[in-house]
Amino acid sequence: MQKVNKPPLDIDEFREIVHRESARLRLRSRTHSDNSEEAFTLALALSVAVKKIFYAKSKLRFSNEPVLEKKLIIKYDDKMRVDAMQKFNDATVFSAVEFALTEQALKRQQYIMTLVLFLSKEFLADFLYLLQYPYIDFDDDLELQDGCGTLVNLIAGQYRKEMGALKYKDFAMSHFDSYINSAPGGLVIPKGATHKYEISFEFEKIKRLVVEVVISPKMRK
Amino acid sequence: MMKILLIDDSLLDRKLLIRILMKAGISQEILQAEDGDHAMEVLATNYRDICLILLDWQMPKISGIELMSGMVKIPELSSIPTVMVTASSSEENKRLAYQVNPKLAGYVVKPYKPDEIVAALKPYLQ
Repeated sequence: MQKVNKPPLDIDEFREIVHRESARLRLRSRTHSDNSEEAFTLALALSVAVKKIFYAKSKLRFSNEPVLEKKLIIKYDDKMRVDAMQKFNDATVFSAVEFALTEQALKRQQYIMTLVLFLSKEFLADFLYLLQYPYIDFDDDLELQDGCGTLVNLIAGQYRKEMGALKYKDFAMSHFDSYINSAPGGLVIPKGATHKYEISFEFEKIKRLVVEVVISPKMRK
Repeated sequence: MMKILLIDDSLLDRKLLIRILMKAGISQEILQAEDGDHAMEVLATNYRDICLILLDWQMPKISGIELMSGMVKIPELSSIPTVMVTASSSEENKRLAYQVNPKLAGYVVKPYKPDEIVAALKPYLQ
């Protein structure tokens, strides 16, 4: 009957411990990566590319600086599992493009980078309109997937320019693949990658757009 | 009777596990939590009665590995056997799970066979 004497745990203290330890865990995983500095620079370049797309083509401004986080990749059968609804707690459209050193490597799925754009389904049509595209029917899944793919292409194109400015070669880039809420079977990512960078952008102080980039541990200039 | 706590954001996965446990004749009462935050609430009030935790890794708000990193620092919770049930089959993630909790009672990869998960749990249900 020992358990009768045990009081409930202090939930606030419990939360504080979990938050403290998870921050420590993230810090530990950040310092355990082999090419972390190079990958971090490339992740920053991606956030610059996204900003430039929106600033150049629309009057839209982000409420805050983008939030960049390094996260562990959840893999299944060597592919990256994606549960997109976790990004906004809402229906989410996402599109992925891959980069490789050459067109041949691209065909062989020997990627050096995978870039994924996530947008809340509710705001995708507005984003496109703000970027001067015609309105799409947000009840039409095919139009949503095509619209998100169009945006990821724009971002990927600008990203190539940013990487060029950092003296990286011009990589071959795949056609986009788009999904709603989840990618059955997962996304193909660079071999050996264990972490990804997630960059979140806020509009009117609400997270509306997320990009993720998975960078090969072998990525070099 | 002691209870089992299932922590998984997928209702379907929780239902599947409950069905497997029932079919295997495991008669413990089952508590459920749909994310790490909810799990903290359930654990704070019920930890005395919980004999085993089945923990998913990838969940919204607070992931399974984050929750576990906090649980191992709390003596009342660190002694409860925890089995990670996750879709991540990567060796890196498995290694990290055991680094965070060296006493981890098991690491089961989804999709699992019913026998596999029952075998992982049985030693802790005596």
